[in-house]
Amino acid sequence: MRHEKLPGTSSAESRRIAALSDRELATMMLRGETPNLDALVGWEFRGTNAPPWMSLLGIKKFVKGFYRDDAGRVFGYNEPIVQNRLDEPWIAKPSDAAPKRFGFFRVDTVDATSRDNAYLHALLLDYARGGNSPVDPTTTLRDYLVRVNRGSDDLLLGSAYVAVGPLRVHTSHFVLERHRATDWRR
Amino acid sequence: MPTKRPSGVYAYEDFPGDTVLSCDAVVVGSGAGGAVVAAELAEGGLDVIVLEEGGYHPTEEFDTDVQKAVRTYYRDGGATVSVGSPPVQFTEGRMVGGSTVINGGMSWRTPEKILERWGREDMVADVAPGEMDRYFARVEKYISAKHQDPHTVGRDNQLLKEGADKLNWKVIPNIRNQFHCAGTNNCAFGCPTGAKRSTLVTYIPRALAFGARVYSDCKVEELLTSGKRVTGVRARVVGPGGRPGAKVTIHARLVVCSAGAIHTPALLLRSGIRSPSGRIGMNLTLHPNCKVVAIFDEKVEGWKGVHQAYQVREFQDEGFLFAAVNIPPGVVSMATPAYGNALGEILADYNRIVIAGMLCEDTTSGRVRVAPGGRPVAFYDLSDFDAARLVRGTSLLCRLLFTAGAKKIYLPFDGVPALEGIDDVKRIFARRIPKDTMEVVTVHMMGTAAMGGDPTRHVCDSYGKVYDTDGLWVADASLFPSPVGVNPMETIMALATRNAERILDSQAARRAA
Repeated sequence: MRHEKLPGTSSAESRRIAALSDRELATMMLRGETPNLDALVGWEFRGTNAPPWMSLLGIKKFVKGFYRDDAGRVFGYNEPIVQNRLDEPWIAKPSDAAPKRFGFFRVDTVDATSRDNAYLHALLLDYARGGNSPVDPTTTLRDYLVRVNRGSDDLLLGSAYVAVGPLRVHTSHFVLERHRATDWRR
Repeated sequence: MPTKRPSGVYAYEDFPGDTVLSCDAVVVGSGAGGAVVAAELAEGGLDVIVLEEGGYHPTEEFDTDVQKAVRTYYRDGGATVSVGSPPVQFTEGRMVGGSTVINGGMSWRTPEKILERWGREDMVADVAPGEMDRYFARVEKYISAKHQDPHTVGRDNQLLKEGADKLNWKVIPNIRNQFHCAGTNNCAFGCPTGAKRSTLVTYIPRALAFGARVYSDCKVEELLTSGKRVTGVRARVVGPGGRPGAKVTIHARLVVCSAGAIHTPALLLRSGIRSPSGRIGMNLTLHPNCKVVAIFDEKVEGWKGVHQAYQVREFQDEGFLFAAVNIPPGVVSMATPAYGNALGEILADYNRIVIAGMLCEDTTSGRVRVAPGGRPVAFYDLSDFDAARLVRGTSLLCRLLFTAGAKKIYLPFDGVPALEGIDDVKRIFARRIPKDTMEVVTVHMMGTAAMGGDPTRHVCDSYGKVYDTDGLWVADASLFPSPVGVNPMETIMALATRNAERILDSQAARRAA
């Protein structure tokens, strides 16, 4: 399993964005570009949940990774991270060499006719199609991803929703920053 | 006698009952935007249906019956007014060819400073002056944009030029969409010779030649949607006297709204289209116009000669320009703030009248809302700054006309007596002229689905695609992020050409994927 390392802490820019208000982040979501799916595959991204209260839940920091299956479809996963400071390294749990992976999702462009169509220009991370157990609560999650900077997939902004029946409830924003290459696949 | 229509043009009598159709692209409206985008998309290989609320009226039908023309070719008989201070009377064409059939035909490229502003302030991509040239050139070829033959310039326009020349003010000959215009000055009621190259006689025939279908007498009531994707339109046939007829449903993967800056946003709003910007219907600008009626000693006979032959551009940097435009007695009486005997005196001098106006590039904006029942209502308040410019512009125009030999000038300001000489001009400024005493008119409505690079500030992207809605585009003056300061027809057409090219590219990319 290959892990090529980049600087393991978050950049000042990603910390600045994560500290913006929800309103500012919502505006940034609308202005963002569609990420290039191919530029995500084979990479893990450092994640920072924007709301301060995420620290209380122990999920301020996380990692998302992306891979392509044999059929060419793009999937992703989450990794729990040691909840140290944002300017300290991202260290996967239980270990960097063998992280736990959970909360799998399918990555796709947004279908305008579907219920999950909040941002037509974003990529949709659909946890209901990630192959998780039907009783896994992560299946209710839907994330949208856009680029922060024009033409670059190194820094992304996400908007998280929870599916409650036909309703979609926005919960928070998060920032993803390119972390390390990986050849892990499920 | 039933109107003879070309193959591919349908009218209310062709709908015996409810009808369901399908195509690649529906274009709502057949004027400067709709006809152009329809022709370009049809030439590009798409199956196109054009829906036009008004009727099909060929060149042979156009004559000097002003009442018939206003009743038949103008929306609401030309009596559409915005709500505000002052109320602004505006006119829209409602027929195949839209307002291009009844407009003056001035064909100006978008001023470079406007294109630069759109690129800089609204982040509109690919509109730098050089980048738009090929679209202007293509439009000018198809509409035959040319200077008038000299013998078609009427005495009223000659006097405008003489006054400007004596004052050393910049005055330029108009470029119009015409081919050997005969100077009948019937432009506002349909060109009886076909010399004025409206979309009725240019882009609509092109669209038909490439297989498009045009359904006249068909009012689009609502866009059909599935989630955030537009899937077609629901329309209603409009019979004689406005009688609602059969329902028409058209399924299409693309819908282009070209119903004008009043009706395009209304259609979007009543169809439930949501913009991340929240600005559908906002940003209404309209080039407020004021007209003066100048009486000369000599016989002017302003009805002889082309509608408008010159524009005085001396004050274009201040945001206004002047033109002379003869209009029929019935319309003069409607637009002049005089009544009874006073009005009779003015009309008695009709053959010695020059009617001249100023167009102001407005600095404020209004809004189009949808009233219960779905009708659009335009709200617009003239700003104090623009009102002051209208007064200043009117005074300069009066100075020009007195210099040209006018003996008396009636003003568009109720309560301000007619001017009897150039020394009287300063009387305009003797007291404040309340906005609600100004007679303000327009034929240029713009801006209500503005394009730009920021979905939080603009309704459409740089190419007219409505943000956050699949399959929906706009191609008319609603797209303008700001007023253009000149007659907008060619800008609308050039943008429609450019945006149609983008639509075709996106369809090709979709097929390739």
